[in-house]
Amino acid sequence: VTSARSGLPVDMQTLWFVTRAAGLVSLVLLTLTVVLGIFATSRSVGSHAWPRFLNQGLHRNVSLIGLTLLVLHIGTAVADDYVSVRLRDVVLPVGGLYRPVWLGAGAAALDVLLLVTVTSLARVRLGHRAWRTIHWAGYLTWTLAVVHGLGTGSDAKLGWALAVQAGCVGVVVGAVGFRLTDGWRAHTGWRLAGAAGVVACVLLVTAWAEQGPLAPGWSHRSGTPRHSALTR
Amino acid sequence: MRPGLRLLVDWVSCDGQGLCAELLPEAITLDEWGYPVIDSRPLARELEPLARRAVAACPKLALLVERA
Repeated sequence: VTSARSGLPVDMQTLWFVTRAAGLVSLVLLTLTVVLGIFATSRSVGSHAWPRFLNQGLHRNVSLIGLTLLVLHIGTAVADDYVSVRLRDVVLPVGGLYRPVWLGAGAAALDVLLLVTVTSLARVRLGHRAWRTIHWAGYLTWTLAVVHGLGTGSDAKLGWALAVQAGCVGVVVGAVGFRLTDGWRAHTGWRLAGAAGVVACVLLVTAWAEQGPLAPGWSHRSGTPRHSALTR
Repeated sequence: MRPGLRLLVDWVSCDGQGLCAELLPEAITLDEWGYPVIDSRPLARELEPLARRAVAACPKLALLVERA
């Protein structure tokens, strides 16, 4: 059985389908992780029926499930021959063969995510201050994941996939907004800077997405190899 | 027999977040400002895993255990 679109046997496409699906699902799980993490910091998200350790425990467990999906996403991308993702491209953010800059964003996201995960698992040994400083990078890894998804995702332009990605961004922006206005109004300067940073990031990524991944010819401009079966 | 574990609080770090009392109500209650009131007697052996979990869950890492 061959696919009408690529002319390749359908079973050879399985890995590639798994890569795409697992990528999108891990974005959703990372988004949930960020939101639960934000809730876990708040005194106002907790009640007798929903104690605060639930937010914290779910934040931890959902992040680990997301990491598992990410292993599947990356493993199948490397195993698949459609696109040349070598083992080195998994962790090195430069020098990839397929849409190098945006594949690199994914590698950088993984590196930062691993750092955040490992330091969290060793949090009791590491101490609160060092752990917390590093843990801020969770926002960075999520942002890099969104950019990677838009830049490399072959489904990124599809209406429903775009809706999922926009939903993820909306949910995180909403949660950050909650975080910035929650509790004691201490650190007003930092909160304003955070709000400005979020607005700037959203505008920047939206403007880039409109000119880049969502505009015609992206597959060529982003550096999809000519021989790739995916060029279309 | 090895000595049991005892809970203590680093009061400089403690912020009164209250997760410890959620996770270990057997030994920790909260005062009216949300700060923990610790039962300072050695913990029952069956509570030790739960106590370690509460220690790891403290947002400020202000809950500690020591050998009694």
